[in-house]
Amino acid sequence: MATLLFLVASSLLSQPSPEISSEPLPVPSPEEITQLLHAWRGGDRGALDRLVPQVYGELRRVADRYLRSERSDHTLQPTALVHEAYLRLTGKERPQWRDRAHFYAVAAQVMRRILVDHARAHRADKRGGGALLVPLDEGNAAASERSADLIALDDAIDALAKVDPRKARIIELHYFGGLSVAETAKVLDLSISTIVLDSRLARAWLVVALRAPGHAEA
Amino acid sequence: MLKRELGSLDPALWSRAEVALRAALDAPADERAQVIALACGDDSALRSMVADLVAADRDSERVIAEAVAAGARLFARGAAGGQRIGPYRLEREIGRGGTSTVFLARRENALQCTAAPPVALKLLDCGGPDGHDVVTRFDAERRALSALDHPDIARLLEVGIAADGRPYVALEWVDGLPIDAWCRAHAPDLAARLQLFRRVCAAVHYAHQRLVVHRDLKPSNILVDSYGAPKLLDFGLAKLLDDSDVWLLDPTATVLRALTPAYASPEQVRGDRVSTSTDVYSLGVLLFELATGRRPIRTEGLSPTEVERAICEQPPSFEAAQLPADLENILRMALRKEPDRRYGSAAQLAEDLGRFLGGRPVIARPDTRLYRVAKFIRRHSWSVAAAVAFLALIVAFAVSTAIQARQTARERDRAERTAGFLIELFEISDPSESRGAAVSAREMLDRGALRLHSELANEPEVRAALQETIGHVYQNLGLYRGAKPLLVESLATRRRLFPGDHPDLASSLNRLAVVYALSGDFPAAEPLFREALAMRERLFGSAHPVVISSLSNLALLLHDQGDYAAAEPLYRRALALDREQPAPDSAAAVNLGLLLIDRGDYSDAEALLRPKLSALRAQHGERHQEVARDFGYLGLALQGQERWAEAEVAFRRALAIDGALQSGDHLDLARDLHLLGALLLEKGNLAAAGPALDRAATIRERLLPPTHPELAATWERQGRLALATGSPADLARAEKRLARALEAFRASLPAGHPSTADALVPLSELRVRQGRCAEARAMAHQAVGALRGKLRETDRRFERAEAAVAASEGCGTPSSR
Repeated sequence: MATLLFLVASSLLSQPSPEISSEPLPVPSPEEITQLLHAWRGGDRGALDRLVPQVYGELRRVADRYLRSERSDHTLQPTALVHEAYLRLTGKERPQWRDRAHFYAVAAQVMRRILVDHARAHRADKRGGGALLVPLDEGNAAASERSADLIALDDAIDALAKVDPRKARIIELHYFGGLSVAETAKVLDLSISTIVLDSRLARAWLVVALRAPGHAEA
Repeated sequence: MLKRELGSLDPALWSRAEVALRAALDAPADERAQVIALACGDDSALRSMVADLVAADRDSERVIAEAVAAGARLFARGAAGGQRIGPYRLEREIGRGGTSTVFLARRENALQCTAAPPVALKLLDCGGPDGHDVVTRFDAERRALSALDHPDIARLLEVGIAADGRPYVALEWVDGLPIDAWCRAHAPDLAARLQLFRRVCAAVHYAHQRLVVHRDLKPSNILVDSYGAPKLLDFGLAKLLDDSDVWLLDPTATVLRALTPAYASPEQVRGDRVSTSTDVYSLGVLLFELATGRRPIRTEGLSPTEVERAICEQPPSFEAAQLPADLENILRMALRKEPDRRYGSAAQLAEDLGRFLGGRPVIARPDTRLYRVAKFIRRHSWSVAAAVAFLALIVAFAVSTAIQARQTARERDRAERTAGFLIELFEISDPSESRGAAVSAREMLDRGALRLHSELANEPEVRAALQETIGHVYQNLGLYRGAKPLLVESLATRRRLFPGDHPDLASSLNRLAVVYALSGDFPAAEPLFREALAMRERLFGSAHPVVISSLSNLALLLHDQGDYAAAEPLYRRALALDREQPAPDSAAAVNLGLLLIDRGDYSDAEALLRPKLSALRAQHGERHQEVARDFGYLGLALQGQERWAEAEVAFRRALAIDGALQSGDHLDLARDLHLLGALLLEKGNLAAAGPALDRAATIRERLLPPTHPELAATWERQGRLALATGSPADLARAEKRLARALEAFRASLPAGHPSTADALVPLSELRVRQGRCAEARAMAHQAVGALRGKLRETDRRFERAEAAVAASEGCGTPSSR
């Protein structure tokens, strides 16, 4: 499993910078997606390379569409986006848990990368040309503070991964991929009670890391 | 201290911390400190780390979820940054609505020495290959919007199409807070809030005067800048978006989705036509919110159907609001469910607030008891209970009218109000509701009429007054057959009661004559009109408004019968009197103008109609029913002179005004559509003429009796259109339409009326094509006969009839083929 996770990360690095300018990819059929998932599970590295851009594109589309509804500001959850992206890519009827969990495993990392890269770009923006712009409302000011939160969280997860990769992975699957405890347990081949406890310990660790003084400016 | 170790945390330290943390979390809360001490021993660094971890455990779930969610929101907002839309470069997203996304953007500058000013760019979610249609189609709309030049309204800068086909709108950038947030932040007192709100009303009124309805007023569209000045955004854009709904990819898109339900008016959630009153309603919601901090109707957590119901039926809730009574009345009036019972304009609302602020009495009044009864009746679909309530009102009216004979002027006023109410009750009743409801309304009237017939025999005066009233109601409902016996009886009673001249008798004569005339019984109407006119002249002198009205009625009757020669001097007399002492409802000039048009004297008609139109516009402003009507007639005068473009502009203006004024189908709209459609047909623009005529026909078919000449006129144009299109299926349709039109003209107009020619000529053309030459000839000759003497022989109508004669004469001979 560790090898697989590494492969995901490296294929992400080879992606073009996640800006919207990337031209639309041909949308594969649900069957193709399912086949790619199967192939990936069977160890086919090329399948993952083809899967990631699809997941990426679909997540962007879903996010874009999802956020157009008025309620979005209150209820937006990345996991909901991942879930919808999955449904759209694979078709709705009777998704197999195994396919779904593996899809989510990919999507979780893709989602994390998308959000963090954007938050970093946003923060750089704020520091560079930000003086030109007057924030429209308090919501915007709050959003730029939060961008620091997400970046800090990302750093903390990375730090956690160095000493305890399994816990970091659990966090990622749950918060960025929307996997349930049972699904996480199956993907990582661990018991449910292990997932529950590890997740709790990891969260406490992350929160302490986030609250450490000066960290938000990291 | 954890921070220092973040990048290089010792795995061994972490695994010790983890062991201690597990143990601590396992233990009950009050034993944790002890457990930590045991697990960490002397290592104080480890102990403090574990304590931190335990403390973090409580809300770790929320902290992490929020960080992720905030990042996701941020991502969503900036997803489009850097994109180019038209000449603009997007900088960041600033908001999303049901069907569009708003960005802060700047115009790309070739010379990058100065930053272009920011604009708010609204990108629609719809669009497609035909995106350019949106821009051309809403050209008029766009021009109306760009013409809005008011310091408190954000300017529309540009409408265009992005490379991907999505339409966009660029608006002046406004730096401010939504009005509700601004009020929360600055906490101005009630008077200051109301003054701010009045300024908003003034801006809305300014736009209304230019025929632009906002349709989506809500706090987020009203920003207040740092100087406390309001600025209205998105004026008229809701319509632009709404009308482009055809391009929405999602077929389930509903009005509610696009609108903000909390501020939507009943007519909007029902999907009825919106008007300036719609904005008055939304302003009412806003005022309610500014005054109380709450919304008048709770919509949170309701399903769309429940929201619709609440908005259409639930009265605003004032409980615990503790507003001054007058302010409450103002709010109730602005928030009335029926558009025409709200303030007539945003300016009126502002004025009433001004009166409230100045401590003067306000116009707004609570609903009257009578109104509530009427509402009850309407809501209960004319059930039996409603019939009883109606009869009770008749009795109340009868009693007070009986008192009227002997009692004070005050009592009389009340009686008159009651009578007025009865009429209003039926006028309000919407004939467009179900057909079943109309039948029940009629049943109720029939019962009332029946009771009147048998009761009140010893109060003949009251009975005659009631019969006239109910007859009037029948007339307003278009039920002329029901009106006649009542009015006949009322007239007979009054003839008995008043052997000489009497205003009531003249009124009965006039009323009955009107009903005869409306139902097409011209021979019966004429002597009554003449008698009423003579009696009124004796009673009131020659210049009294009712005399002018009688003159106009008689003239119109002769005009309708095609007797232009007799009608003209009467109109001219009415007009001369009218100028001495203008009667508010006199239409003599307009009717004379129409007569001149019918006769083919188009430039004379134009000369007559133009000053009348200017006077009307000076008096009422542009947005007025009569202004629209007169634009239509002016268009006819122009069309007669073959000034097509000017005529089209006039018709379109009429349509725009009525479109803004009328909610739902209305005969005025049908008239405007008919005129425009007929012009387009004559110009040969068949594709555009069709929809206009079809809509006019639909409205007229629903609201007019089946033999009404106006309805027949629309059928006749539809027939001509089908004839001009010319496919076999169209010819069958043409024949059907023209035959129906001719039949209706014959049933409603005297034989040989010029209008019959309008149906006969195209029918004759059709018969020639069908080879039915004898019929064609007969029809063409009849048509010429109907027009001869009525119309100049150089008129297009006349020439066309003569051409039809020629074609029919040539029909069947080899040379015609």
